[in-house]
This record gives sequence, C-alpha cells and structure tokens, in this order.
Amino acid sequence: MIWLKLKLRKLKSESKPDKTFTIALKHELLTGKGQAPVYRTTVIFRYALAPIALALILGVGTTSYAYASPSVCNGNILFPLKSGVEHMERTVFYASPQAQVKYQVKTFARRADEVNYAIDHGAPAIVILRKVPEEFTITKQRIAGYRKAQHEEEERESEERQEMEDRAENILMDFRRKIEKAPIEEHEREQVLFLIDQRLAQIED
Amino acid sequence: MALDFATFYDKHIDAVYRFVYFRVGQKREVAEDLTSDIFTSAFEAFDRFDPERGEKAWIMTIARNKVINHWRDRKDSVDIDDVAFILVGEEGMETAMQREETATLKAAMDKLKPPERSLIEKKYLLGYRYEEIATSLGKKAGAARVETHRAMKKLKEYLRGKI
Repeated sequence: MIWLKLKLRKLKSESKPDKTFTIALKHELLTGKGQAPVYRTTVIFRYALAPIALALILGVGTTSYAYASPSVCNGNILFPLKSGVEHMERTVFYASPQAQVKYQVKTFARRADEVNYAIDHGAPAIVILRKVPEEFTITKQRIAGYRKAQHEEEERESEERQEMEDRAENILMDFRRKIEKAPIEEHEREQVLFLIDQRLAQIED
Repeated sequence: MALDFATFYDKHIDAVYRFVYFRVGQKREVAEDLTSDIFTSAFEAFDRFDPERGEKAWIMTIARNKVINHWRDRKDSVDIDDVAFILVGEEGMETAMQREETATLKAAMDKLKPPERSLIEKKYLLGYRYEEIATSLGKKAGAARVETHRAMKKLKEYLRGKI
C-alpha cells in the first residue's frame, strides 16, 4: 500500500494552496479589518532601546551593509569586508562537504545578485565579468547535480520511512484483527486493543 | 483576538482549501474565492466560536455550507458528499486530466462510496488525525483506523493494473 500512500501524498501536494494567496488572504483578514497584532512596548523601554540600537547600527552597520548589499562587488572598497564575513560564515556554519556545496550555491547566488545589480546600474558587461570572482565560475551542472542529489535523498528517505511505517502498521493491524476475534475476556481484549491503538497512533505521529 | 485568529488560520488554511478544491472541479480560482469567503465568515464569527466544539469541526462546517451555497447559486442541486472529486470543470471541460496517473487515482476515488472516500480524503489529503476522524464519526480512533484501512484496500483494488 506504500505506492498508494505516496500517490495520495503527491495528490495532496498538488492541491496545496498557493502561498501568495494564503499570505494575501491572511494579511487582508488581519489588517484590512483593523485587527493587526498589538505589540506592547513601554515608552521607557523604547527610549532605552534607541541608544543601544544606534551603537549597534554604528558597530555592525557597515559590515552588515557590505555583507548584504549586492552593490558591494569585487573591486569595491568594502568587498574585502564582505569576503571576510563570507569566509567566517563558511568556516563556522558550513563544515561538512555537503554543507560546503550548499554554501557554494549560496555564494553563487550572491555573486549573481552583484552582477545583476551592476548590469542594472549601467556597468559595461566586460567590466562586470572581470569583477566576477571565482565562485561565479561554478558550473550549472554542479548546482544541478547537488539539487538532484538532494531531491533524490529526500525522496528515498521519505519512501523508506513510509515503507517502515506501513510495515509496522500492517503487522499491528493483523494483530488487532486477531485480538478482536481471540477467545479472551472482554476487558482484556479492550486493554490489548487500547495498547495496539496507542502504538498505531505513535506511527501516525 | 487577532493573534489567535492568525494561529487558527495557519492551522486550517491548507485543509479548508483542499476540501473546497476537490469539490469545485479543481478550479484554483473558484477554490480561492470560496476559501476567502469561508475565512472571512470565520473571522467575523470568531468571537462567538466555542472551542469545545472543536476548531476543525467548526471551520469545516462553514466550508461545507459555503460549498453547498456555491452549487445552489449555480442552480445545481447536489449532495455535498457526491461532489467530491468532481472531474468535470465549470465549463464542462475536464480539468484534472493533465496528469493521467493523478486522474486515474481521482477517478478511482470517485468510485468509492462517499463515506469511504471521505475517510481517505480526511486522512491522506486533509491531514486529519484518526482521533479527529473518529470524533466526526462518533466512533473510536481504532474503528476509524480500521475503516480507513479497509477503504484504502478497496481503492487499491480499483487501481490494480491501472497505475
């Protein structure tokens, strides 16, 4: 029955509402009728927050700007700062080989944003290409290969999990049917059925 | 109230949309209009909502009534349980035949009796738990599971050799 459950799961995912629709409707319902969430911030806290925020902005503002802005590309004065943060991010958060590929893809997207920004702001193509650092040379195949592997891994895990759940469920269901007909006391039957149903509920969870 | 409704909305939007979607010929636009209508009604009546009645039961009752009204306004007299998995769209064209496999599955589900189809739909498409299904049927969770299992076996039989 695994394949049937997988088909139903596919049908379920095909009938999922569009994210844009659900977000828009929620927004319309909650803000359109004056029911926006109320955040209680005292006046004192707000005033105390201001200098802290200012210090933080001064302290990390430049770095954040350099890191986040696509206008900071290779050749820009802030680009070494950006590279430094990226290097730190790569070392600290993306240690495994799989994570390294993930980071590579992320960096690729960031470089692409920088190029798009430069194009939008009129930089000649040749200049743009010269500014593009080595990350940009990652091949499409590598990204596609990574995504394919990731997808296959997820599918495989999902199918394996489904198969195990299905097998466990079938065993318990067979057992349940036997208990239903077994020549035992009614209160004993109820107790055993209760235990089986508890196990079945765990499979469901 | 606004924050509570937001949580309520997040919890039920997918199931409500799917419930409607499968009853309006898989027309996304119609499903979206009706879902908006359902949640607008729920929002307006939210302060009168009795939690003891059960969130899902409440929102699904609204959804069910809206779908019935939708078909009534179109002057189509239908039994709500029979409109599940309608494969013919509003203009009389087939709407769900782009993927043959999915269409076969839907057609097989259409062959099931409405209560059997409803069990599979609730469990595998709308994301109900067996306890919730049992509550809606006035039975125990174990019984709901057994009946769903039987319905699945029947569906499997209908699909034998087709998928």
